[in-house]
Amino acid sequence: MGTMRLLSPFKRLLLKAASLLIAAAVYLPLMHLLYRPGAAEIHSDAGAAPMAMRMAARQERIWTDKSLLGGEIAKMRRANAEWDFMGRSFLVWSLGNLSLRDPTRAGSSLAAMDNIIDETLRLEREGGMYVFLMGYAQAKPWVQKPERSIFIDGEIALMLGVRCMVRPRQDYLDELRRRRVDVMAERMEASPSLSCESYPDECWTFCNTTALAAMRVSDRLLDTDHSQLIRRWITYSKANLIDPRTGMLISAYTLDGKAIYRPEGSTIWHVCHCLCVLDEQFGREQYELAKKQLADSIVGFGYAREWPAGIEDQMDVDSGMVVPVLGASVASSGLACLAAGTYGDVDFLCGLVTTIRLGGFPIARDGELWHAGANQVGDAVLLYGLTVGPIWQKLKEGGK
Amino acid sequence: MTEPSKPSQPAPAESPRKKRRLGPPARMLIGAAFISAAYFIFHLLGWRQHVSAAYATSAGTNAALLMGAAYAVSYFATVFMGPVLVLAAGIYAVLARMFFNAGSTD
Repeated sequence: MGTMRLLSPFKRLLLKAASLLIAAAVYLPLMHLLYRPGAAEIHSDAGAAPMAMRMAARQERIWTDKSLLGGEIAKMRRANAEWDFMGRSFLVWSLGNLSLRDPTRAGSSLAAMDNIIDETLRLEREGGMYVFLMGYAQAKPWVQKPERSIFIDGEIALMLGVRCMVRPRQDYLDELRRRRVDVMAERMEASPSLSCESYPDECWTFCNTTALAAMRVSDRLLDTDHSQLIRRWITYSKANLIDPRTGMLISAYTLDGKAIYRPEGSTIWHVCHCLCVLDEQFGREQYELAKKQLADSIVGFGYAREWPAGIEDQMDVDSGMVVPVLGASVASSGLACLAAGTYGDVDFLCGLVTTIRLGGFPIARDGELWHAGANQVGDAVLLYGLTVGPIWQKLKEGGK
Repeated sequence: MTEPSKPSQPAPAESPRKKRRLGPPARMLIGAAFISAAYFIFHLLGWRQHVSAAYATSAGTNAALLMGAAYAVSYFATVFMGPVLVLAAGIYAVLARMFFNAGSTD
C-alpha cells in the first residue's frame, strides 16, 4: 500500500464540499423514486385503486368509532368549523364514487354515507348553518334574504345527490329537490351575478360551481332541468369572473359580481372539477391554465402553489401552510389531486402523491392508510381525488 | 575505550488524542447516524401523530406543536441529509485516494 499523505485544511475543505455536492447531485434527483407510487396504485379506470381502498377503510372506521370521530372533529373544529363540514362532503362524494367502482363495498359505503348525511342534517337542523361556518359569517348582514349559505346548501345537495346516484332513497331525493336545489336555483335566478353568497356578500366560485354540479345531479335523478341556468352562469362567469392577468376564474366576488379574491389554488382546482360536468371544454381550459400557472415540480416531487408565481400573498385558512420559496400550498396541492383525477392526468397525480408520501407523513396500519400531516378533511380530499370519475361519468352519459 | 552505544531511543508514541482523530468520512457517517437516531427516538416516542399541529392542519397544544415540529425537522433531515452524508463519506474517501493519495483520516 502506498504512503498516505496528510491533506492541508484547504484541500480537506475542498474535498468535503465536492463530496457533498456530488452526493447531493446523485441522490436528490433520484430520491423521488423512493416515494413515487406506481400508476396502478393510485389510479384505476375501472375498479378501485389500492391506495384509495386503504384510505377509505380508515375514513369509514373514523365514522364508526365514536371516540376516534370525536377526536378528529374536535381537532378540526378548533381550527376551522368549515373543515368539519367539508370533511363530511368530500368523504360522501368519495364513497359514492368508490361504490360505483367496486359494487361489492357499496353496502358498507352506503351505510357510512347515510350516517354522515343524517348526522350533518341533524347538526344543521339543531344549530343552523352557522354551525359549519367561520365566525365572520355573523359579522355583517347577508344581502339576500332570508340568509342562507350556498356553501352549506351546495355541498349538502351534492352529498344527497351522489348518495342517490349510487342507490336512490326517497327522503334524500325530497330533501335534495325541495330544500336544496329548488331553493338554490330560485335564489341564483334572483341574483345579479346568478350566484349566491357563501358568506355575507361573498360569493365563492367553489361553492357556486358545487351547487350547479348538484343541480346536474338533480337533473339526472329527478325530473328537473337546470341546463338553462347552468349555461347562463357559465356565460356570465366567462364575461365577468375571469381574472385578466391569469385567465383563471376569480375565487370570490360580491353578489353583484365585483371581484373580492383573485384566483387561488384552493378554489380553482375544485372549480375545474365541477366545471367538468357543467361545461367540460371550459373546465379543461381552466384546468390547463391552472396547471400552467400553479403546478410545478422539483426533482420529481409535484406540488401546486396557492397563487401564480410572482404574485405574493399571505397564508390563510384556505391556503393552509405554504412552503417558503417554492410557494407550495398544502390545500392547493391536495385539491390539485382532485382536478388531476377528474381530468385523468395520471402523471401529475403521481407527482403530487409522491410529494404527499414524502411530506404527508403517511401511516399504514391494519389495511388502513392516513396521513399524520393532514387532518380528516385533507385525507378525504385526497381520497376523492383517487376515486373521482364514475359519478361524473354517469352524469355526462345522462344528457341534459 | 569506545563509549558504549546508547540504546536507541524509541520513537515517541503518537498521542492517543491524534490516534482517535476521525477523518471527514467518519464524521459524515456519525453525523448521519446522529440525525437518524434523533428521528427514530422521536418516532418511538410517538411524536408522528403531532405533525398535524406543526402543519396547522389541526389545532393542538403548544407541546403538540413542539413535538410535531421536532419530529418533522428530524424526519426531513434524515431523509434529505442522511443519505447525502453517507454517500458523501464514500465519495470523499475515493476522491482523497484518487487525487491526493491520502488516507481516510485526512
